[in-house]
Amino acid sequence: MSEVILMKGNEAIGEAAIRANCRHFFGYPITPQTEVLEYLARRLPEEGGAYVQAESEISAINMVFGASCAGARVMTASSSPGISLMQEGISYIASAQLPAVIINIMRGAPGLGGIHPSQADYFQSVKGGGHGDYKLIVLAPSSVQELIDHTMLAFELSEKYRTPVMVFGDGMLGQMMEPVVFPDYLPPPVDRPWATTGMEGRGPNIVHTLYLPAPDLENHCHRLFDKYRDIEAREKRSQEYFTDDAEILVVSYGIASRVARAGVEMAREAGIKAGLFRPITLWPFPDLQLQAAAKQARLLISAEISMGQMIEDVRLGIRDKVPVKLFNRIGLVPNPDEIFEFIKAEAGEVSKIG
Amino acid sequence: MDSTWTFTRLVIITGSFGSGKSEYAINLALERAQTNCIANMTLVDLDLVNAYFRVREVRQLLEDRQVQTIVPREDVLHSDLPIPGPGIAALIKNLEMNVIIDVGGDDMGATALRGYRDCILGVDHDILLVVNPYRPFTHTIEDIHTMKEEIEYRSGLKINGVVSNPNSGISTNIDSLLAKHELVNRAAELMALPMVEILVYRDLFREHQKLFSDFPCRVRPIDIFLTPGWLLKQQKEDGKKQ
Repeated sequence: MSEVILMKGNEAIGEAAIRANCRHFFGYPITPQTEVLEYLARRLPEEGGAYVQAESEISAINMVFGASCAGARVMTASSSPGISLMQEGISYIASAQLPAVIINIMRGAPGLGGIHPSQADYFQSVKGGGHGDYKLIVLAPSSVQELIDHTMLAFELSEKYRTPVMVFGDGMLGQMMEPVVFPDYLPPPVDRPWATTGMEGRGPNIVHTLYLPAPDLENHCHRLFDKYRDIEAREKRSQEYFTDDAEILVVSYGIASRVARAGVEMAREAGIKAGLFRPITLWPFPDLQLQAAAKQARLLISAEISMGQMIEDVRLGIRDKVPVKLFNRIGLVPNPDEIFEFIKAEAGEVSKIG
Repeated sequence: MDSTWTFTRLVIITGSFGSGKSEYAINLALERAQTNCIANMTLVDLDLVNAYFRVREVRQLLEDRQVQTIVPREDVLHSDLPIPGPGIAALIKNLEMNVIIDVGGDDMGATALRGYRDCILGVDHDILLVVNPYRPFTHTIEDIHTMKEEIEYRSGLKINGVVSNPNSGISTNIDSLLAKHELVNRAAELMALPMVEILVYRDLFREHQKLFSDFPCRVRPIDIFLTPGWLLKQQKEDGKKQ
């Protein structure tokens, strides 16, 4: 085990990428994500890597596209409006079946919004965002340590399935400091026989996303979705607290899930049978795990820093068998007291129904 | 080691990003205003490079406890723009006022001091370097020395004291605190700077009061203001489990 260091979330992401043997980073600064760039601008040259500040997020994602075609392990990072600009490129990367890691340290939105913590890009990344039929694996860490672990995991998954992976953070997670330990981690070698690395005695490798004959495009989409089904079968991840006998089950991810955990603990102390289900992969959404965790549940509460986005997957996941309510705040990370009060009020309602 | 450091009326707090400058500035201002009954205590938020966890977030609490604050105007308070609060130069020159300036992190943050350099040099002042050796870019004696030189170069001012903050978060234990403090001590010696004080979380300070009552430098118990209480509680519990 290496030693404890005190890191900001954004710095931790940068160092995790380096430990995962990522040597190519393209990006454009935006609050509250800029420290990822600053850290890598400082550290990548020390490791013989390249940090390129692009002229825009559109350039950055296309540089990621190009570097991945050429066989590089590559990452970019931005925050909500910048991620919006990247959507076209993400669709190309997904279609070309290229590994790439994209970090979104979400901020207040829509529009220019603000620089507050937010979770309002769920629809964008989990449901598509760019054009066409594709999926993004979306990971939702909830601590600075998990930002490290999930950044490393993102590289692994993106290479295993040759698909882009998004890591979700928010302004608070990116900016706050926590003690972390970097695991003794041996990243897998970069092995990409399909990459455009120069012919060197073999035929040309071609990476492209253009399928003009209709049957070719149809076959391509089916191949992609065979892969997505495989990911859905293997990669759903989640975590549970006090779910065994939970009558009120809070569903929450990322920084909000930590507040929710504290709120649920307060509810337990007050004798309310509350529990927490925390999706770690947002796509694929851990629906089977949710159903198992909600066995005793009479009410589900989706707790998010958005106007209610994940709540749709919670309803789908539970197949509408249990009512689902929304607890939300915008522009700030709520206080555990607020969630506790909400749970308490709902517990009263649930008991009235009997 | 000098354990009787006395502050001048103008204390400027520099250091790397996340070294603990703002928490130190708040604790110092509150102690000086309340315990030491120093009048006209003013805390200046001169962090122009970071948009989160800044002094301005607790300005009401400070003002309730006799610490005036200088923060950017309300309409740009939450903006992501490098705008300092009003009247800082006049405040530095006004000998009636007791001032603490919380500067932004690294040499980048210290750039904001450059504009006030001439006023600062005209009055008695302290420029302190807060060092947290758990932070990635002040991890070694060499790095600490580089950080000092970069801050001095950008601000055009000389640092005259070191504040040791050898904490890895709320669940720091006493052994690692003392070991890391030793590293900061050695760095201070190398830079030929006095050790002003060591910062210790109040709970840890209470647990080891005897040890700290006979410590080679001044010990300041620290309360945390900028991290929400629920998060500190969770970090403490999670820290115990590890």
